[in-house]
Amino acid sequence: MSQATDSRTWKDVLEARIQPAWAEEINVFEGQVELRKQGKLDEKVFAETRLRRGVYGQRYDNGQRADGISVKSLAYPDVPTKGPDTLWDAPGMTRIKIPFGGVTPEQLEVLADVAEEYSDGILHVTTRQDFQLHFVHIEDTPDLMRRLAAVGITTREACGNSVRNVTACPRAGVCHTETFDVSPYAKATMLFLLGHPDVQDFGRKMKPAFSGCAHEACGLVQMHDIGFVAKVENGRRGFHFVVGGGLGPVPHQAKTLYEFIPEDELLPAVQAVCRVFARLGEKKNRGRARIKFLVAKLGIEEFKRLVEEERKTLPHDDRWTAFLADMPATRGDAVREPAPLPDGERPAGFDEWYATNVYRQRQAGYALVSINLPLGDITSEQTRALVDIARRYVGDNIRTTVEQNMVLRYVREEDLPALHQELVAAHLGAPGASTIVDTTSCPGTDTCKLGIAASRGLAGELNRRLTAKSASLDEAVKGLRINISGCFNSCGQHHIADIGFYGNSRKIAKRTVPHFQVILGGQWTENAGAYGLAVGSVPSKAAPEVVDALTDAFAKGREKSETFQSWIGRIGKREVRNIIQPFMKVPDYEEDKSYYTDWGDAREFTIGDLGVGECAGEIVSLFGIEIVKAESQAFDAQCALDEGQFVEAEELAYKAMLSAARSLIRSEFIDITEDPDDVVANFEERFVASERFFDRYAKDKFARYLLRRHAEGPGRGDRDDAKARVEEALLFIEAAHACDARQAASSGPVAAELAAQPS
Amino acid sequence: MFPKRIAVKFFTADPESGAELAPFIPLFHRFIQQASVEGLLIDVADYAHVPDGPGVVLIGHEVDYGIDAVGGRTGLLTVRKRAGDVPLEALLVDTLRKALGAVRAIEQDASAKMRFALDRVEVQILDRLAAPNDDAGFAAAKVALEAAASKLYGTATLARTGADDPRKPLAFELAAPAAADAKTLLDRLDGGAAPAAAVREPAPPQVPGQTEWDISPEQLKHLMDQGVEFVLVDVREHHEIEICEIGGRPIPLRELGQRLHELDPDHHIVVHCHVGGRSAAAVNAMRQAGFENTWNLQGGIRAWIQRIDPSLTDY
Repeated sequence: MSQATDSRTWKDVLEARIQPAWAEEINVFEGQVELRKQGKLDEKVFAETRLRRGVYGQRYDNGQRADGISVKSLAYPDVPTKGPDTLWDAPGMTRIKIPFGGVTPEQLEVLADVAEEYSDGILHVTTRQDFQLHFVHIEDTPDLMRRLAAVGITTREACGNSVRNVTACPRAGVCHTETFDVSPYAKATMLFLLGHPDVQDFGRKMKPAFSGCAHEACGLVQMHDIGFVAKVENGRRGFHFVVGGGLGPVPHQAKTLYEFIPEDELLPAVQAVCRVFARLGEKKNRGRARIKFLVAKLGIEEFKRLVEEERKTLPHDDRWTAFLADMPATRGDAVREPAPLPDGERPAGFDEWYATNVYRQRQAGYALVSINLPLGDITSEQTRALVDIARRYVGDNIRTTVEQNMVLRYVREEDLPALHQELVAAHLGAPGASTIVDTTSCPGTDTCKLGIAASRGLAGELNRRLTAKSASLDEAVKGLRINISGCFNSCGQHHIADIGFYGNSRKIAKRTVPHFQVILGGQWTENAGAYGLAVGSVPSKAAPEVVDALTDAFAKGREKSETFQSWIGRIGKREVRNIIQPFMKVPDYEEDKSYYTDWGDAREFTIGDLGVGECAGEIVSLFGIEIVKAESQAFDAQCALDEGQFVEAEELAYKAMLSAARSLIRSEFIDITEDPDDVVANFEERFVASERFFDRYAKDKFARYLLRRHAEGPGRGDRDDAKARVEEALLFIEAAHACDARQAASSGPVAAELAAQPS
Repeated sequence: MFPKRIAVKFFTADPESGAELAPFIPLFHRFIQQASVEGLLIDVADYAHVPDGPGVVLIGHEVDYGIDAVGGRTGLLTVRKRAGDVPLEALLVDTLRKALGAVRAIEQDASAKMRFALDRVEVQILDRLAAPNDDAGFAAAKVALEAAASKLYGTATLARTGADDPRKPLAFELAAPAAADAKTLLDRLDGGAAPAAAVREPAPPQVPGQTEWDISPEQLKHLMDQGVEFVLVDVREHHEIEICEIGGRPIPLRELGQRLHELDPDHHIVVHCHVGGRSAAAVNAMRQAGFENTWNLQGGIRAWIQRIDPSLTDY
């Protein structure tokens, strides 16, 4: 009740409990917040600073929002920005790294507290085992960081051009097929790289992943910038070290850097790779700055040579091997003695839950239990309930997963029925973890500035529908994975799902309609061994029926124990296209308005929230007709790729880009020829030099696909080339649609038409 | 005590009804369009998929309004954020006022089909530093809680809840001796102290839509800056134009009908007046007449002066 109590700060209370280096960093950041607020720190510098502390932006933070009638300005107070075009008071997102997904009950309690006090009471588990909090005010972030730091969690380098969260399979340590437990190595790598001088000068982010097995591969190593698969050679522990994987708009498979690197050479090798990336990685063109581009440019042999050279110059660091003396560092101790599940009657719902959510550990008598979180969300109350359950049954053995769930490890099998009851009471007992009802989705248009369509809305709708009929689903269908991204940047990891979606949009008459591109046949196993290919774009509201049509056809048509991926390969792209074709038609606005609004929203759809608001306007019918040619060429390219005709596929993809460029040019220059030189020259002059083709965030990334291909020719004629070109063609076509939509908004073609007419 | 965040919750009158949350998505979007509740309103978040979760939330800058069904009881949770410079009693009064305003707006909306039982309200203080969930925190908050409760309910009972788990936020239930409706309760609160100078008031909420084809002053400025080809028409009287103008072509509203031939229906045309009423009428009429690319400057030249160019003279 005294004023003295009231004037205490979190800093006062917690300073002694935070490690000095972390406390100092947070104090510095708090100072920077103050300076920026007074306009005494450059906005770009402040933006990069806060990104390196996991403090991110959110949708509408440029102050513009389409409210369903028109675009409105959000009337925030007029104070300095927190970044270019990013208003100070606009709510942001905070990303909290959880290395290898390992989180303790004590940490979860603090996470629950900060979710209530600074966010909307929801903790969100991401596709990289992080937690995210949304709608956080920038001025709350220093205290948020302090409270987490006091229990050993840092938000440092969760975002920005640095090393992101080090992920690992959630079964590491308890898995039947793992070579050894990778968790302590993941932890050591994270601690070693955190704030390391050699990771401060990257041109882009780097995402590491560890996996205990090569084949089961919940670690998804093949799609990461640097990946490690546990291996033993001559009795020594080490790793198969791969580099240069990544999803993004154009996915890449990682390449082998070392078939085997011993455990005591792991960290110096990582450090050497970081130095090479910092030194030689692209810095200016952000669209080509990930390490996968450097590896592709140099070739893996040259890259390896550079890494070895770098390794020789590294000054010795004790930390390279110190961690090996403390290997049990990540193994939580079980709190109960093992005991098997006794026979007897089971409570209602137990068997269904047991079939999907329980994994019997390598350690006899123990099981790993999956908590299936809907869209990765858990409330503060649920978190506290989970903490109580965990303390009773498993102690510290809790992890987050890249499927946006959590797991409890070292559950005594005998306790499973009682545990199930308690989870159900806390609404944490939903069955179906990792099955088709457990859809993975990025935040999408809910909160992300780059989101085009409502990935979470669609995921929620699919969950509802599939859960309702889960009892009648074919077993093969139940095991399928669905991943949804809100845009082509694939944070939802749609490339590695059986059925993947990424958001885009199409102009129908005068309106913009949310769509999802359908990506089929990705491979989760073999450590994300293969990426799916695009089959066609369907209206967002038709996506659930597309899922039904595909799963029905699969259930009926599969032979023996064919995987979804093999089935897709066997029946071929054209046949798959036939299955989804009926759903691609968008009904007229008067016929069915619901197609013109996205899932979980009530506003008529617009891509205006991505950038400057649209005023809407004329259709450009010429474009609409011409672009269809480009799309069918792109589709043919994919079929050719499918059939192993790499040279033809690459050529067709190139032609598709030319057609798309031509369709934009035709709208204003009727006499454009088909000659590629003519098309590219006009495209460059009219759309690239003027920046009309530019994407708000990716700038000229997509335009460059055509310009580069035209200048450099077909390349090596191999599978990788063809695949990349096909992906680029699809993205180029998307960009052409977006350009057309922007044109319509700014009356460009109308003016051009008027100007072109004889006076 | 100066907590940074508190929440109040009113429950629906029919506890067994198990309300549908889905209608609140379009409803809250409408609230944003029409500025139906207090606060700088930002967006609608759908958490209906989370069991016992926040439900559907209208997110604002300094206040959130959420409809949820936690524990099987449907209620409106109003969270007052961005505080810390207002003492608890005044903050609570302010939050109750906002909450009751939302109660009224929801009760008046036909699609919600909802009535609230306003004789009890739950309060949470979501600031564990200022208000720990222990005896000391309770004692520190009690006086302010009682004062606010008596303003709202007269003779009220105050009970602490959630003492069983110190991890939960400090929480109370206030109960009135008899039921009352939202208007009555609001009137009682307005007699009390408003959190005036101490509170950093956010900018006023956006002007409600005047036509289906409104653009904001910022949008207009952007069009001008980008060099986009369009025609700006000013439908005010000449004496008004002499006070201030932004380069619009003067066609007074009463002459517009006869002078439409001066304008090209294929052009993009932005119409403005003083505060947007006349231009709204003009735009509606022009659209009827086949001018398909006509837009209304929402809020008129007054909004332009307020937000873009204060050097001009308003009147």
